[in-house]
Amino acid sequence: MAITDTWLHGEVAANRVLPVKFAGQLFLLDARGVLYCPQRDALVVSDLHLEKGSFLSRFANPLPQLDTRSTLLRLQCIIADYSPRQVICLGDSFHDADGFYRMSEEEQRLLSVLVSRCVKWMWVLGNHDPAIPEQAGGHSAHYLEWDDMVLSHEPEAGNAFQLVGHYHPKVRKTVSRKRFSGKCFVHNARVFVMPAFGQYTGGLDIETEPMRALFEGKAMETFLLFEGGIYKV
Amino acid sequence: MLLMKTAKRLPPPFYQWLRSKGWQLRDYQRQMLSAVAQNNATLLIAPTGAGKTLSGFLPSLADLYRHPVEGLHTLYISPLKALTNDIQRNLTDPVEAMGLPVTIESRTGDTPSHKRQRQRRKPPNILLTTPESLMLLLSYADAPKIFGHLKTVILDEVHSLVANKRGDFTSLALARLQSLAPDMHRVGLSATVAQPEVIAGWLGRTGEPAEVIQVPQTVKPDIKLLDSRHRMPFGGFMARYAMEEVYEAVKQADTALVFVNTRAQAELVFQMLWEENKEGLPIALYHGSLSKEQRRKTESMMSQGVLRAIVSTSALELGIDWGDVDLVIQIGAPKGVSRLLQRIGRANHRLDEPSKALLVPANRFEAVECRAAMNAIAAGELDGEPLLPGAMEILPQFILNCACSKPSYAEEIYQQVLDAAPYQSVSEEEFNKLWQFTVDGGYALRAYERYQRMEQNEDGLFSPASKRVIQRHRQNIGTIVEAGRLKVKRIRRGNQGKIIGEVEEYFAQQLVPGDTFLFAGEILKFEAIRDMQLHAKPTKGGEPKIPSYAGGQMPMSTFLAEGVRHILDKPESWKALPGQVQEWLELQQAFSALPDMNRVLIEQFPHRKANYLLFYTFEGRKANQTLGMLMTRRMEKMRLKPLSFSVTDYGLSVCLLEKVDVGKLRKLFQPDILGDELEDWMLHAPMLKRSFRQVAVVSGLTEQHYHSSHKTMKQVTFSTDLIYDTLREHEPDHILLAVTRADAERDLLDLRRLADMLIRFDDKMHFMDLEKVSPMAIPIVLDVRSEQVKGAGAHAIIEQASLYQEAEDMMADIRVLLSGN
Repeated sequence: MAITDTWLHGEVAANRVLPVKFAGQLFLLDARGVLYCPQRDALVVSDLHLEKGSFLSRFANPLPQLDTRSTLLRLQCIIADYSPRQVICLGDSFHDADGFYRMSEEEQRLLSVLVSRCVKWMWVLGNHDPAIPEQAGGHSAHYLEWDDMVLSHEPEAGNAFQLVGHYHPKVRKTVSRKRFSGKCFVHNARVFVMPAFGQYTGGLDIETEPMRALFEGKAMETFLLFEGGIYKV
Repeated sequence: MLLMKTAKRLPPPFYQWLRSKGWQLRDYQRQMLSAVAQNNATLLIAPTGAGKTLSGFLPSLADLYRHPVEGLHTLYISPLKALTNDIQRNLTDPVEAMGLPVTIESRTGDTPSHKRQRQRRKPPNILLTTPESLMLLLSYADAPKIFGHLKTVILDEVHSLVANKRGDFTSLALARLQSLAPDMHRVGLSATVAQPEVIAGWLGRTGEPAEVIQVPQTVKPDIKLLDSRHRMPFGGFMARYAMEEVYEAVKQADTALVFVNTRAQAELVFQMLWEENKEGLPIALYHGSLSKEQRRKTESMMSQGVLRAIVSTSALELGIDWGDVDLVIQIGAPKGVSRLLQRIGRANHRLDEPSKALLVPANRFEAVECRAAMNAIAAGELDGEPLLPGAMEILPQFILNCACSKPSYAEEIYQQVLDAAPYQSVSEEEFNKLWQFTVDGGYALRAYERYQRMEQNEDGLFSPASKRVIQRHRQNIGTIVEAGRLKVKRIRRGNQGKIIGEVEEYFAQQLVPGDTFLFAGEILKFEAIRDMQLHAKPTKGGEPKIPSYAGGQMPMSTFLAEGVRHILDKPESWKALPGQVQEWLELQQAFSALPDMNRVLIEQFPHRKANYLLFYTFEGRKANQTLGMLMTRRMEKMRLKPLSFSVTDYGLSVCLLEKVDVGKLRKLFQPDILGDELEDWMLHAPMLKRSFRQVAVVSGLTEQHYHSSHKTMKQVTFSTDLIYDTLREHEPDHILLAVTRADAERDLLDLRRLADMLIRFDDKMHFMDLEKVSPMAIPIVLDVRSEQVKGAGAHAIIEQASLYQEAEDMMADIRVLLSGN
């Protein structure tokens, strides 16, 4: 446990961290796009999409393949701040099944340092990464249960409460004629959706059909990530 | 050479044909005959209606008559697809009348594929095409066969190709053509321009400017400025107040062309005219966003003479012959003297009669601008664009294009690049980096497992790595600029309907289901975006959200801005303005002050719950844009919380949360802003991301045209901003970042001009602290195209809006949890 009361106080004052209550539990939402559960000392991050750049490059897109490095370095900073006992990657951690093998040695080393640093590293499997190679370290599972809350990549009917990724939610908001837009955390009473963390991940507006269907029109709470700050909108 | 000796005369059938038409060979047409034969490049500058296009073709037709050949003899390149159809019609007439053994065909994006294939196997004598279709032809392996015996290339409306990216692209295609057909002659046809030598330099090969033949304008056009019975607004761009009078003018004319500046204006003006149209006159709409079929239909109705008026954007500005237009109405500010002349020239295609035009300013500032343009035309002065160095992001496209045609060495392509005038000073180092980018992305980091777009064979020649690379390249040729576009589908029921045109992607993204907007002359209700199509249903009534898509926005020439400043500075010249405009200027004088030539006027006033600062610089849009970026950056440092700024050609308006006093203003408006803030801004500005977006698409880093599979498209839709951030952080020396910066400088900055102004007006501010917005500020403040500033101001606003009372209580509980761990 590395976070202290003073640190947290400063982060909240600077709009970089916000508390939220979901499924009767308290969580911290970090403006960098991760969720922290103080009760379990667990950090949740979703949709890393590692090696998306090199995947797309195979299709004649000469993209810079620096996304994995950038994603991991950002994650490294966050893990350094929270020093969590466990880290949960909520699916689509690799953009495709071969992703891990395309990482450079240096990037693989960086990942293994991160994985070995915490007591438990959990890969929740997603649609892009139905299996995680053993060399990546950590454990993998299709879902996790925290009391009556299920952590999985995609939502499943029948769960009382669920924490998911997959949707890459984004929100747009106009305040005093000024337009804001960015990735967001969004939830209603039963479903909580994480923003996508990967460097090359786009977003799906929460007003669009798949998201509306997910929330069945029931009141949503949205937390916008904007220029290093997090705001309830 | 036979050609040289006989070039001054035409073969006999030509004279018979001219006589049958009641025409005779004009002096400059005779001049063209010998000039084209003698010079490698010839530029004909003539006013509209002088028979320019025919003059361009006469030497080729005469040569083909004397020496019939198989295969391609003359290539005609037009900046507009529509123009090629028009020219084909006009050229086929004389060819058939004289019974010349000449085949003529056109080839554009609309040409069916079986015809395109046949054209490659058996090219016509004269091929009419666009720069993009030409580049595509050049990418085929049989390009040397098709173009090997090319004698002449004719570039129509060449003035519209100078100093822009499409022109850069065309100049590269010309250089490639020249390498395939070393004896090719270039012929350029241009409207009257301020600096013929600039266009002549562009047209010729590097270091060999074209020979200029200039036909003087004999009759000055007859231009009127509308003095309306109705109240002219201070701001706004739609000229609703004048529609009744515009309609009257349309009624009195046989056929009128109504020009507007943006597509949004076109839609609205069209609708407003129909509201006035009690007699049900046939009035049509024409702009670049409409579908091909709709445009074709309008074109053919116009040429049959059944239309009384067409509302159009610049899409109709270039030389399509519309026959009997006798009045041109310009709605909104003309933005440039040359442009206005070109538009006016659409009326009356006879040289010796004056063209008639009516200028309808949309607000009072524009009235002054119209007057300034009329003054310039009366004095025979024109504005000119300086020649800019070619856009570097086009080079990877060109390199790959050459390699698709045949395996190549870098050095060979480099020489061709240097032969295109806009690219004459590209250094070998720059070129090599762009070459490397084309080969494998050119990333220094991540040295292993690179993706290769080009592969080197044992002889050291480079060719595309796979069929897929070639296919992807061909699909993306000619992607020069502008936002992604979505097709608009007019839904009847379910998912069924008709494609009626296109809008920019960012406009579509602003819409939420249920929003209404004007398109193709009717109000549509937005439903959804499906499969890269915007689905919308026709609907009745309601106030539509105006399509604010950027299409056709244009900057005013700095020359004209200076003219406006002169008028403002001389109250005795106001007599020539409509009465309402004079009143407005007097009101400004009484309420605040008028800009003069010796000081820069700065106004401050509260407006819409924020504070506005207005700088009347008259330095043109580019310089004002740059000043806006730097100014807001400095304001951010001074904790003045800037929110956004907008620019016009006249000035800069900054919206900020804090008020400014004279002392602070002095610190803001300082020449040192160019040193301190510039570097800082260059690294962080969102404008650079915007430039990068274009660079990424044009250079082939990401694609705009997607393969048929939707999956690929979805994968690439994450924004190029993310790539930009990644590159900047992890590989700041990458060539595309350098290109982006150069692109931003080329497009946005006008640093020298800005520096001159800041030094000239250092300590010469005329500061007016006002209680409310001044009459002159209204048109500028109302301009909605503002740049958002990200910073403390933006955070302050969203923070105010995000009330989150429960947070405090939760924090207490969280502290308990943390201490329990």
